Amino acid sequence: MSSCKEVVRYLAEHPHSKETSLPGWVRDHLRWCQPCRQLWHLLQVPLRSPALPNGLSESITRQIMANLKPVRVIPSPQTLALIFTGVFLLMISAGGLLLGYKALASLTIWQIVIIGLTSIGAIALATMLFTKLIVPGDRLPLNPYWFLIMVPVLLSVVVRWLFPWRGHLFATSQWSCVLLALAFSAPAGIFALWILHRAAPLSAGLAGAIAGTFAGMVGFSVATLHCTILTSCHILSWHLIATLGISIGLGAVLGRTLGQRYFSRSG
Amino acid sequence: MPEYTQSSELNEEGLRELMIRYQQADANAANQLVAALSPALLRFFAANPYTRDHAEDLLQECWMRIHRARHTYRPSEPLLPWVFAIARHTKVDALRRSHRTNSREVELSDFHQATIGVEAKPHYADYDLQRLLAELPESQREVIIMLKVSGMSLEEVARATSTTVGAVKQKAHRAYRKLRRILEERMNSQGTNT
Repeated sequence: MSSCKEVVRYLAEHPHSKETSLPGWVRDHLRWCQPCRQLWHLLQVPLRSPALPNGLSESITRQIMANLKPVRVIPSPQTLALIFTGVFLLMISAGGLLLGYKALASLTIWQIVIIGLTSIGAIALATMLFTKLIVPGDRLPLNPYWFLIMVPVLLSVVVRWLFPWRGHLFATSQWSCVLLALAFSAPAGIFALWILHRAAPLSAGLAGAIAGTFAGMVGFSVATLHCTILTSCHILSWHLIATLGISIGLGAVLGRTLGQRYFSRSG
Repeated sequence: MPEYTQSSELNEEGLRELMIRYQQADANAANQLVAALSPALLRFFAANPYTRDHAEDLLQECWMRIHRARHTYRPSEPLLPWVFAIARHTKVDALRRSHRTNSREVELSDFHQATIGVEAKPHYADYDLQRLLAELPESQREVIIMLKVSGMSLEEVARATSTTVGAVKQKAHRAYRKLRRILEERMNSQGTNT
């Protein structure tokens, strides 16, 4: 015999089911359980939308007509993902041309593969999340807050596992590494924020933070390929935490400022 | 071309077609879209006890936001989650403003708090669904309104509320459980009275 809990769960999971489409065990339960039957009848009551007050529809239409122009629809997530991949590759190539990737000679194949795959994975997810967050009502592939926590944590674990600690090198050429990383993050971040400014994110700060993650990961990749101080203490502190922290923080603040123009009360 | 009136069912395909024409500056499509969507949006705003009095203002504000952000609707995506995500954002903004105003007013006058308390707790004169919905927390109520008024699917509600289908099912389940409990209590009290 089915319990009320099971029946209520079934009704919640099938909100548009009609009486004829209910399974036998639910119908049997509704026959003898009065509160569940009451709930079922209540859910069948049509909750009608009210008629609009006189003139309201006309007033809204008039305001819309005052500024009705054809608009260019925002690119699809796939197109945006391609553009972001292009920006990432452009910045990595520019880093290689301008700086020369000196660290490549000292890195093992495993270090290159694992760090490379983790970074590319983080960048791909950041791009995917960003393209969804910048328009209302799109399906998110994962929780963006979890993503913001997981990227630094996962990369920290990977870096700590792949490179020796050597804490005495903590303060070696720290600012040059951070500035170099940020110099390559900046164009990627500016591009992402420009897209954000054109779009209409409902959580502008969050979308900005994800844009910051994308930009920060570009900086992290360039710095790690260039810098020859291959210790986890240095990479974690300056390439990862400092660069990513600054990028995400700035992204969130700028995103909040730039991304609210369509949804602010004043418009 | 689909022609909509206020009483029409919300048909996703037809609405999407109107929206695409609205993006191309078709005045007739804009007109029909306003007529088709406004009743459901008005119900959505009126369902909350704190925004009920301003539902018409919120509807206008929501349409202005829809108008300004119309280029962000992608024709390959369903329209209702996009519209209701903007409506929900408009309502959340209004609730924040309302709470800010109320908290300031409470400091000035204690008797106003009593008034708010009365408004927020509706009486149960009958089994009317709307009155029962007023008993639910906002997050559960808006899920039920979206499911029932606009006939959105669980997936579409999940998109509009930026959550997962699992979370929407959970909210609907909690809401139904609470509604069932209220109905049971009322049946028991009626039995005791008679």
